[in-house]
Amino acid sequence: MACNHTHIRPDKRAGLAAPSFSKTQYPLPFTHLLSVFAFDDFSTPHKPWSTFLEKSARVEELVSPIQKMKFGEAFMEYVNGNQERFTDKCSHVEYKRLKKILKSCRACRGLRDSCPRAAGQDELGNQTLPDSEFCQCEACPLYDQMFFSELMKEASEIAGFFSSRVRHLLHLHIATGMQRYMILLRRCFKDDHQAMVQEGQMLIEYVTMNAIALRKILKKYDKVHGSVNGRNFKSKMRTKHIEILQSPWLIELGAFYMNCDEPDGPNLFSSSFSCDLNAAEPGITLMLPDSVTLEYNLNCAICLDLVFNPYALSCGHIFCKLCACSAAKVMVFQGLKAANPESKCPVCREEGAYGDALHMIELDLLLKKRQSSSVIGALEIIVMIVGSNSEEQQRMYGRHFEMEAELVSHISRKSIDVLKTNYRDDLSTDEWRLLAKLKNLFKIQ
Amino acid sequence: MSTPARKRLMRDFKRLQQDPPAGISGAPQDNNIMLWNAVIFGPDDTPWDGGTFKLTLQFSEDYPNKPPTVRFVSRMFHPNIYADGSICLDILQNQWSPIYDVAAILTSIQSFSVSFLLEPFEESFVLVDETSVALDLSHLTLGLHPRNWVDCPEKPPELSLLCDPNPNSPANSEAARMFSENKREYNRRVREIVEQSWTAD
Repeated sequence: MACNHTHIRPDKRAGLAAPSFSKTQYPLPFTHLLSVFAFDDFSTPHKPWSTFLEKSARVEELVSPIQKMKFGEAFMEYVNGNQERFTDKCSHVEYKRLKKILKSCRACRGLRDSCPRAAGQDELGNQTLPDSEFCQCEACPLYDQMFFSELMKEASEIAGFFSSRVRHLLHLHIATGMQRYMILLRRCFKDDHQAMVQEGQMLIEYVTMNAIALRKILKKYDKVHGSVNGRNFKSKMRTKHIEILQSPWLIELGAFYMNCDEPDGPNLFSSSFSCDLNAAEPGITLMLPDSVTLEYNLNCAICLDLVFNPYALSCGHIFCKLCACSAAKVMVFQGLKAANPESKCPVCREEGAYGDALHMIELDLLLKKRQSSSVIGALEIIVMIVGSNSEEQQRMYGRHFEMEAELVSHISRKSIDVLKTNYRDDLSTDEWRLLAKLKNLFKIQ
Repeated sequence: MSTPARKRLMRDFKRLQQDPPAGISGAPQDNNIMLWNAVIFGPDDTPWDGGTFKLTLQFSEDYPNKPPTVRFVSRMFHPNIYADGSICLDILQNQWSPIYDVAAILTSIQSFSVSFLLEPFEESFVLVDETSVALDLSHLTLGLHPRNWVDCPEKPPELSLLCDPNPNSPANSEAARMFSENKREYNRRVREIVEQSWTAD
């Protein structure tokens, strides 16, 4: 079998610089690099993608054809159908393109294994060339660098797009007072709740499809090259905070979904999202498409209790605001922005993690909703502590108080009204009786 | 009076009861949750095997942002344990993190005696200040709480504040010298300590 495989001579290979992550060192465009590894000499001029794909298609004929993955088709269908749905231009993993590159690598490998000359052997199978002299595209640092830098760029664009869209969506949902009025004014007073929910759904689909595409590409890379570079790349993504499935914005989006899931309305998301606060390890579970299940522990690693007024540090670890402030050695009123830039995350010890801390308002809202039953617990504690001494000045018990509505353990006319307004359906007859007792005890009109 | 430190210690106690690590037990004193008594069993397949060593942990109101003061009540013979029972351990000094709980502290101390036997003396010490030397155990503590560390397996705690190893000023100079010069005698002395731990009240 004839082999049209160009052997890279030692003198040419020696000309390659050591791998570096600065783009200035390799001004070649990505497409040119790929044409280089489509078994051409290094003198090959810049060629368009089509030339490279034709070449790789020719090579594929020599080896066993690689079947198309089902996910690949689904992903391409999603990307093509997605353009109308997202108004802004959004980034995607170049799944098809990257997969073609990996196919060419596999083809190259197949050629090398099947062709004696390519494998540095004569017709009798004796070794004629040292291993380093025949083409091993998986071993080329230049190729790896461009493949992974391209992938890193795509991943960071996806993460950036996702977080900005979620931020905008949640801003619309949470805004109150004058802020909300201004937003509605800008939108000509269209407060389409359903549209917001739909956009949330689209964002979930967007992040999931791209995360799966990334995962599959990296897995395939490791399989084709027999390396762990793909796994290492995942770790690198995590350290650069562009691992989208670990983004606190995804938790916020999940919490937004559950906050939108009205008890009387249609249960749009109850099958996909769940929140169990009574378990030993309270957490939020997001069931995403393609059988991806994400579980987030909602226990603060510092106080070992359910997070209260949660903040996510830039590394993604979630703590109570009070706990994070005490760990960063700042006063609560100063906020986490005031933390020393050298302060480290208590869990992963990443420096400067407090500067870009994210207040997880939707998650906070969700936890408050789900914890309404604990209000009664607070009332019973008051009875135990204060007892029947009506002369004794009322004390406030509870955790961290920030909003007036949270002062539920301070029995007053106002707090009783809060209970009636927000928790009427949650209180049993016995609990209303307890409330009546407390009213008499504290002489509340 | 319930303070954040006391609440946290209650949770530590609950966790320690629900999921006790092997070879460790601990509980607060009846009338004072800020003072704990603990027992560490010597790790298997080491000269410490079979020993039962008593400790006290004194917590402050700054816990978990500040580490407790940990002391061995039982007599010890170890290069990183002072005569008064104080322990020179990095996670109890400048490598402390508020995510460590009582179980993590005790597990670290337990593995600390093993690691010393496995690693050469010169490589085991890191300078904490001009006068004391602590055993670098930051790499060992990673496995203690998979829940906390699973997100960042590639980022072990750093030793940014620690200088070059200094084997010249250990907590127990006799134990340190014996460990590096006469391992057999060192092991014999450890066995003596283990046997004493059985009879000590």
